[in-house]
Amino acid sequence: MERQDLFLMNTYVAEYTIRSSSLTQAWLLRLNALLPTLRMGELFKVTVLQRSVSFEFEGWVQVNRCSLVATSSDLEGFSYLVRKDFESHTLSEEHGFDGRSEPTLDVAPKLFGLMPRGAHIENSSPLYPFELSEKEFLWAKNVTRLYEEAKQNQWSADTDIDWAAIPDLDPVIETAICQVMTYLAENEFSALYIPGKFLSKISPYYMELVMFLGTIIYDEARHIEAFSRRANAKKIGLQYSTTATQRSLYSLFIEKDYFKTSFLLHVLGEGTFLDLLDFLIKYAPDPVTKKIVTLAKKDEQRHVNYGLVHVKALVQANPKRIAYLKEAVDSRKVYLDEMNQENELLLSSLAILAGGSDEEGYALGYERVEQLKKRMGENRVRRMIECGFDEETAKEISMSHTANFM
Amino acid sequence: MASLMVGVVAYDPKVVLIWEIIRDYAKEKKFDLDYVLFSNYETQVQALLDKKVDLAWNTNVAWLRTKKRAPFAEALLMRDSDVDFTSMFIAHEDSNIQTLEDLKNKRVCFGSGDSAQAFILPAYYLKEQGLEPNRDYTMNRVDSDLGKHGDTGRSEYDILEKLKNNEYDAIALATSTWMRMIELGLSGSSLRPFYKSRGYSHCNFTNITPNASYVNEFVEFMLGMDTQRSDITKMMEMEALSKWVKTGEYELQGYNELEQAMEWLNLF
Repeated sequence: MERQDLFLMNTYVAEYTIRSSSLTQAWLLRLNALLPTLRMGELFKVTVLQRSVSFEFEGWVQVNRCSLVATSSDLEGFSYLVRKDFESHTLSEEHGFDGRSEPTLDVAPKLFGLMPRGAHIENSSPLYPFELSEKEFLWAKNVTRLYEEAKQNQWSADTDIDWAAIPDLDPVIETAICQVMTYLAENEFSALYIPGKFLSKISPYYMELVMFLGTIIYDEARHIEAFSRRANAKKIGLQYSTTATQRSLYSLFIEKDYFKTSFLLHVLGEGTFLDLLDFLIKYAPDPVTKKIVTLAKKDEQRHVNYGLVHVKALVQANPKRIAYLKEAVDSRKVYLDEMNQENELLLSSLAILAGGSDEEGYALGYERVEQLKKRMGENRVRRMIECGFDEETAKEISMSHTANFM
Repeated sequence: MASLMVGVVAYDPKVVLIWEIIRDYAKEKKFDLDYVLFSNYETQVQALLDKKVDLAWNTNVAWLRTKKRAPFAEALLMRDSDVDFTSMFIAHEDSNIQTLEDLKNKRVCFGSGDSAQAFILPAYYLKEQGLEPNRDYTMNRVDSDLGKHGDTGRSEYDILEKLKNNEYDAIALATSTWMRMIELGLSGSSLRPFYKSRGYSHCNFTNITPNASYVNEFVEFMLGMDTQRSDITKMMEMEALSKWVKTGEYELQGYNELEQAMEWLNLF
């Protein structure tokens, strides 16, 4: 085919006419920005009016790994048909976040960096160390819905809590509340840091999960704020942290496996917390504290729901994974058994809230806490069965679960 | 020691990054390759002639000097960007300089004396037009980074400043450097290229041991690089190529003019 014909035919996908008398920085930017939008082998046409610019444009073609397919000159100027000779991007056919679609790939594309799913990846992009890039180990079918729910159920410790309405309570009761709040805030730090720790390892390709974990982190921040503020609302303030709680949280914090952590934190830990929060909703001495705990529980339920669906899918795909999870609980137990596991300050405070501080009331409160522990155990077993565990194993795991609840 | 040593001139810190990528890739492909850095091409050429290295990544000037002393030397491989490399002459827009002939009786400044693109070839283009230096025009030069054969481009930036200060009427440089100058906003609004050269050949991998066993292996290794990998893409971007090409007849002819120019300037 005559080279001239190439100009006549509709062979090119973009066309520019450079009228300026030099190849300006602006034109250089425009030409450079054109290249990524073209595929290897695609043609574009450029006409320049001045000879000096034609020298420069030919130079641009040379240094930008393109080649001249055809040239022509007439009174109007110089025309070039240029071919891009390299592939700069891997195109994506996926949509990004739309609240409906799921990531289609079982493994995130290798060069998928900090970008939304659906973006076209440049081939010279750096390789991020996203260790968690397999859908099976991350994804839960409900994650997009949970993200939507999280957005709709945001609350504010400023506007949703009437801090001024907290009554002056008996100092013993107030102290018990402050102790419970201290313990809750400690545990919420754990629930904030752990998703944070894994977040940076998850490929952004699974962006709904990344965004959902983002909501978890903010949920926990809000809980930490609200529990701390409740403790400090009156004169008594934050109380004692305990080694028992810290050792339990530490043993969770150092777990390196996301699947194990998801089970330990969301299913066993936060699951158990739902019962604890129910208990506090029932026995908290004032409506403001009840409201804080009620709002927090709603958030925690979402976190548990992610864990349940996530763990269930993995266990269904391979029931042998139950043994893997049991191993995580067992090895944690070995560490925890080295010392007293129970946070006695917490349990005592719960007894006071549930029964009272005199001998009779405390004994009643103690009984109610014992019943709470029993209920926690039963619900743990129920949740595990929901995830596909057999009852016997679920009971064993529940028995081995930390006495710190989380 | 690796079975194949490649000599490379360290004209920029990125040279190390480029060759670390190539070396890692070679290791992965079980190809036993290492590189040695030289501070200048003269030493590298000597090391090649002394067989202290097996191959040298040479400029066109270094290649021709090697070939002069080792007639069996062969150019194996180049970057696609080394084929049809070009130079330019730049002058002020309002200077009435439109062609090389217009440089008669003018002050022309070139880059380093060992740079094919900024001095040797441009000066030869003027001679071909009948313009002898310091008879028909004033020849000046800025010798920056001698030994690097113009790789750093520094002399070209130096003479650009001098042109802007009207110390000279025209300068010569590589087209690729001019592109970089535009990008950096250094090209000035009143400067224009008025001449662009024919294409000539630039760097190549030089071998002086005929029928050496590593030659085919090396060429196949380089040509077979997986351009879909981000480390390779990155290396290629830093080294400004989209693919390696074998040095064929056409590419070899691209050194002829430079050879004549170097003879004329007594640069061998």
